[in-house]
Amino acid sequence: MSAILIALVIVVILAGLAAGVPGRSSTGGVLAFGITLCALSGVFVIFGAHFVAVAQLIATLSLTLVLFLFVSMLEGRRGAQAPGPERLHSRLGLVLVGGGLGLGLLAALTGVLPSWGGPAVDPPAGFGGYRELAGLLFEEYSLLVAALGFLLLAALVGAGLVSGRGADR
Amino acid sequence: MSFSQPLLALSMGIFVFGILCVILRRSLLAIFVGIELMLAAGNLALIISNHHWAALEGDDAGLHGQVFVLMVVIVSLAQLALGLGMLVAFHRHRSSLDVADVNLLRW
Amino acid sequence: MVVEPVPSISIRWIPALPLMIALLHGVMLIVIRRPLSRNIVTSFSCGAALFSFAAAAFALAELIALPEGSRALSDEFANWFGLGAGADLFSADFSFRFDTLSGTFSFTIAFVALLVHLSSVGFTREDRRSKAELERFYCLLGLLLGSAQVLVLADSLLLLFVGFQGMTIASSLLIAFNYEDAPCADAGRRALGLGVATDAFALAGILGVFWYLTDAGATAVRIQDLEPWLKEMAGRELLQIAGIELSVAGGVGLCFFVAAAGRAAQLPMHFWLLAGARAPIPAAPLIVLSSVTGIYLCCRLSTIFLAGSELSLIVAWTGAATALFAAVLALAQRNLLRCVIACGIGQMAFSFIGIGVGAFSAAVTNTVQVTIAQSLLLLGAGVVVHGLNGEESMRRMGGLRARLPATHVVMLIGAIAPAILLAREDLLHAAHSGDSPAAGSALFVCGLAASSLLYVALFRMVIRTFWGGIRSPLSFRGHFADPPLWVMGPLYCLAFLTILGLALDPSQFWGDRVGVENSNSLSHFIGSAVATLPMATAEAPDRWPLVWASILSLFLGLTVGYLAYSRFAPFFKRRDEKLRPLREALASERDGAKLDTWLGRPVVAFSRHTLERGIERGLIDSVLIRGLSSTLRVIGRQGSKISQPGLTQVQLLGTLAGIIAILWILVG
Repeated sequence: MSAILIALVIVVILAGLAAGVPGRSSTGGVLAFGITLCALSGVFVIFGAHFVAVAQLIATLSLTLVLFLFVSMLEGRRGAQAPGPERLHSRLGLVLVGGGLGLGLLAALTGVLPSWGGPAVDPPAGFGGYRELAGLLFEEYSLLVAALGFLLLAALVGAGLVSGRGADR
Repeated sequence: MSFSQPLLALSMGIFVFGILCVILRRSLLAIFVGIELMLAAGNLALIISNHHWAALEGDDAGLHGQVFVLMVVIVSLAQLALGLGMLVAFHRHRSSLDVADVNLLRW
Repeated sequence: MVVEPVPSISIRWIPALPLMIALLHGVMLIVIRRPLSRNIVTSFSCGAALFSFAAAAFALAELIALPEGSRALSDEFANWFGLGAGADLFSADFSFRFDTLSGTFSFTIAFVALLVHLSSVGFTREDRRSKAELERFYCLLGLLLGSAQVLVLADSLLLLFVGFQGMTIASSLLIAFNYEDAPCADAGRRALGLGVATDAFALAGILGVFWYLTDAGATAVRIQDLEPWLKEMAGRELLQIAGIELSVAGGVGLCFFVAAAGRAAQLPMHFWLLAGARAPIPAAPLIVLSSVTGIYLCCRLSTIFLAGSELSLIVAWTGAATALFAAVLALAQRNLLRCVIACGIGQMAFSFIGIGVGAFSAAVTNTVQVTIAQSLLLLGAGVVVHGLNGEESMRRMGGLRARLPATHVVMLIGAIAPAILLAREDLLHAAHSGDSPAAGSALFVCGLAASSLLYVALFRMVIRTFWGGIRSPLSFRGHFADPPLWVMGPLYCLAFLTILGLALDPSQFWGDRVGVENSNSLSHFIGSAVATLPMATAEAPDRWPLVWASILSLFLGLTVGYLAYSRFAPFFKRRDEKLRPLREALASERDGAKLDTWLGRPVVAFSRHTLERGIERGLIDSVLIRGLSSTLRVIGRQGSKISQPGLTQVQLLGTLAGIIAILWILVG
């Protein structure tokens, strides 16, 4: 059962990547990106990281929404993305070059793949649950959580400042 | 059957896609998407590793991998917020989202 | 029969000097484009011929001084190439071998060439040719002489082939010397085509020998080492194709025979030598000399020619047919030079009869005698033509006896040439009573008939040119006489040698009659270098009929010639009007024109359609050249468009590629 699920999820991820990355339109790209990350959350669920999966899902959906808004807001203003100075290389050339380099990188990275084959073993009970996660966060990583809070605050303020109309005066 | 191998390979694939997206796309938004993809790939690898070690060592392993993933998600959101802010500022002045137009160290 | 040679450094100068001078002339003409003055050209070329002859004479003296049975000199002066090592070693060297056979030929060629060079001085003295043409002439002459010497003296078959090709090229270029004249150019072209085709046969024969040798495990390619292997090859029957047994020796021998027959202008490849009449007059004897080298080839590889009965039959009957045909051809010629050359072809054909029946020594003796007589006749004809300001037709000659008495005498000596009669008689005796499968009465009768006809033709030539009333137009009835001594000198010398040749009896037969010992010195001298067929030594009474028959042929020929062309000429002239079409056909000077149709058209069609349209235009021009250039253009344009403008994207891609490479190295 889980095999079929995983296969389905992998297919969705790959389809989303294939559709989004080489595509020309930003809208489609963003949507495909969203679908990919949602499917990724599904993988997280299969592997028992439920809380993290939910967090990722929320982050993905909000990110997708924001990007979509940006795309329609910024690109919609001036119409479609204006084509660059001149088309330097054909799409086919891009796909070939990019695909080649990508495969090369993949092959190089696969060299460091650890061999973790063997039968599936279930993790202990309560694995990935919010209780255990919360315990870890507040016992070992409390400082990190506080720092992350500051980081988020700084990002919020900074984003507002940088994008505000008074920033360049 | 353990799915660690193919899914690790998948995470690498997503990472490669992310790099390609950053390099080959001209739109700034697409580049952000690429960065997010790379981070997502890292997250996947962390989760798989965590699952593997937890299954092997039981309670001693803990959930450190998932904690890291949470951290990565939060940091990526912060980075994205700032990045999009800068993108808005840039767009206001150059009216373009083309990465080739980002050629001045101002704005 | 294999003699270990003694080293001698004089041999290399025999071919080297003429070739060096020819090279000098060639360089001056083609590279530096400043022809040397007449005096320098003639003195250099004649000097080279003289020193070459001196070297040949010196080498011959050295050879004779060696004890009998070990008479061979060799000169290895450079290494050409070598392949393999140890047991697989194959090396071809620039090395020459001066043994009794090659020494005889080399000396003869050097001597005749010297005389030709000396008399050419007189011939070209009053020529209105430019310096460049003169230099070209001497360059080609030197090349021909040098190539002939290389061929004769070569110690390996590869070098022999080099000489072959050199002679083909030089004689074709000499034939086409006046190439602005279309028939000359055509004749030269056809001579070259035929020469190259026959050389291909020689090459096939050489490759056959090599293939056999390497198959049998030999590593030798030098002629002296070839002997035992040739013997073994001759004894083997190898292939069976379609029920016919073909021996390797037979096939190889046939290839060599075709090459030699082409070189010696045997039937049906006779026409190219007849076209030698178009060459400048002094060059004609040297071109005829090239036929000598064909016979040398057969004698050198005599072991193969004794191999099979089919080969002997082919060789002997080709010789006989050529002799007959050449005699008939000579009878029909109106052109003086062509008539002499046709007679020469016929006389040389007897040597092939000798080769066919295994009488190699007699063939060599006949060749030497004929060479001397032919050179004499050609130079004499040259004197006549030159004196008549280029008039070559015998119809407009006649009555020159009074004007050119010395020339008349020497030409008569050359025509009758009793020495040739002796040599020919010996060959016919071998053709009749020899042990060879080709010998027999039919061959003897054929040879006898040819001999008679040749005498008729030769005597006709003398009569039409020198006797009777003057038929030349008024303008030629000028004050011309025998040329001065430096032109006639070589002719006197040759005439003297023609008479002296009586001393070179091929067999001891006449020597025993007259009481002279060792009259067969030449054949004895050569004997060790060629294969010998034990001849059925006929008892004296059995040989006499044949001897009488030969002598009768001489007198019959002379009588018929005298009667038909001098005494009762008008009577016979009326009778042979019916033969006019045949005579016209035989006397036609479109040598080898048929070759154009048989050989030429398919070759031209192949060259035009397949080679030019298909390969040249279709493959090379459009695909390789244009395709390659447009591909490179596209790559260059697109490539520089991408890489040159300095775009970040492209640079990032490059960086990524670099990272991948590093990862590969670190991980893999």
